[in-house]
Amino acid sequence: MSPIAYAGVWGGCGILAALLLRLLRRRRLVWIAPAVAGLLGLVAHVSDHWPGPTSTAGYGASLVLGHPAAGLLVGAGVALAATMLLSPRLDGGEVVAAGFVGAAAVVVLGATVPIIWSVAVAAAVAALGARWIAAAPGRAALAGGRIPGIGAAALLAAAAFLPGAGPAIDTRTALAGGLLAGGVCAELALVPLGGWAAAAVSAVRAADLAPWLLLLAPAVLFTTGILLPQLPAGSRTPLANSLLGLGLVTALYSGVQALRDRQSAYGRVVIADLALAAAALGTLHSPARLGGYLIVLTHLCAAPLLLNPARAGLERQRRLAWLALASLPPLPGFWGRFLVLQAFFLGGNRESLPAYLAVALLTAVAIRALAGRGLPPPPDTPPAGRAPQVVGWLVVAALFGLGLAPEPIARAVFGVG
Amino acid sequence: MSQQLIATLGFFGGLVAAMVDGRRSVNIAALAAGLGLAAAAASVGGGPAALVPLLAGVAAALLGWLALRAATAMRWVPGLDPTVPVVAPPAALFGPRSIRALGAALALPAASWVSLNVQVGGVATAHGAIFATAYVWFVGCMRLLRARALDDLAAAAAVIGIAAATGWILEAGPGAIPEASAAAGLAPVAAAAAGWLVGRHRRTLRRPTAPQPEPEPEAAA
Repeated sequence: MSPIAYAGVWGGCGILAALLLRLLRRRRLVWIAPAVAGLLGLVAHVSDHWPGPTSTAGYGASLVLGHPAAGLLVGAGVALAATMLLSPRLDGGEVVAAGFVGAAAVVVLGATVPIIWSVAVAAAVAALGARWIAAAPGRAALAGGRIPGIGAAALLAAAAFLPGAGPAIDTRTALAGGLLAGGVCAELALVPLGGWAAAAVSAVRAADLAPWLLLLAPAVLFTTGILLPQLPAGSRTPLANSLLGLGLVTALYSGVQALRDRQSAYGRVVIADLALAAAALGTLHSPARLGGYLIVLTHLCAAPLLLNPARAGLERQRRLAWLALASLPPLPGFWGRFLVLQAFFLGGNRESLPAYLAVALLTAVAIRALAGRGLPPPPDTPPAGRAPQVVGWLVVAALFGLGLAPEPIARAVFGVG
Repeated sequence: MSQQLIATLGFFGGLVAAMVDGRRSVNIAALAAGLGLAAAAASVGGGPAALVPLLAGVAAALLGWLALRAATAMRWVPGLDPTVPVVAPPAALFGPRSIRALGAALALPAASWVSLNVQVGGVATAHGAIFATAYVWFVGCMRLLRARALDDLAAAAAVIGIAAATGWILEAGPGAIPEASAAAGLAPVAAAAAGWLVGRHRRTLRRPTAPQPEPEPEAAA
């Protein structure tokens, strides 16, 4: 299946599921759509050479998916399905946004020119913003449309400057780098452009937040990792420095906030981990990309349990998922952060120290959640039935399997090891 | 066409896109941006390139109107009204349109700086075209930053999409029309989505409310 057809599958699954399941009054089954769309990624055409949005010669608009991109789409589809399955409440509209974001994520990951990449980011942000405003109208949802929208606009503008940006440091290359840095920071919710994500974590339900956290943000992170080394120096330096500095500040800030606020602790931990992975990309050292892949894979496994609110019947599964996020070997939370720390170590002491602090904070959050009494379920949350409990145990098994065999699993999912 | 005229057309297109309000704001903003930037695209890519922003604007206006009509004609579906502000702003001396006018004024020097200092594409003399594109892009960003409702976000997406398409044509020339069309495609999609949502609510307003039954007189004890 070609990437463009695969994008159509994501969009079609979302719309079909919303229409059919509403007619059949089976809205709880919307999880089938992302599961089917994700698993169909196994038959998508995958190329050994993943050019990313930098191959500007001839301005071809073809889509090429690499192994990491296909792995992310399959994993995110399954993770989205599990998140919806474990969600205590669904209104059926979540799946439309998830389908649109999935389709856009295929294009983001497969784009070979910057303009197509940034248009796809803009389309995904628009779908998410509309959904969040419809589902939870308020300042957080509005900011979720405004700030990532500005980021997408910056990426669109950067696309016009990128093809001709030369090795010399002039206004044009610096402007391209600055716009790219602003756009990527807004999409990955890095400080000072990340307040919208922290607010959305508290205001928006897990099934609505998951398309950003599990699909769009990792897609932007992966493609930035491809784009960054191929940029001309004048554009690469502002982007790499912004990612490094702001990523570390975001990881530290989100780690502290996760310690303070138990209700939104997991959302803050994901934001901090994504920021840490983005900062590691900014070091331009090779372990950073694999570390980012492993961090994303860990959260694809943990998010279905921890992004949803606490529910009776899932307490033990949630505790084990928190345990898996501690940065101790052989837990899955360790491996990705270890590789990321390696990249910082290669960068020097100045970058390493805040990264060590951030990892320590994230471990403290996991241990606090493990050792404490656990959050009580919200008052109107129904207890989990048999099927969600089984899915919860499967999620835990996937997490610990990843911790015990990170290299073979990363090779199977992303084609790298 | 002279670069001054191209810049002037872009300025007026951007100004209309910045100031327009109401239920048809997305359609009008997209149409104004498309008309304002057609000359800028034509200056580099010729007639076929000019069609990209122009058709995007016209298609946005047409699809927005068609989606509105279709949603009005179909059965009533409850949902989101894109014109209702998500957050009620506090009463202030200067309303949202005044702030947008100020933003449009501030966008002038910013776009001038870009046109004078940054070369886009191989044509170093196309300052007017670069000014027009940058001005409309700044206006779109300003609308996005000051958005209060979903139709503000849709108008911004339409305007930015058309500006990005024109910018890509300026950079890559007439060979870049397929990719530029993808960016310009944001405008019709945004207008259709906004029109659809507005149409659903127009139908809600037109539905006659069922008369309330008179309370039964209580039997005399």
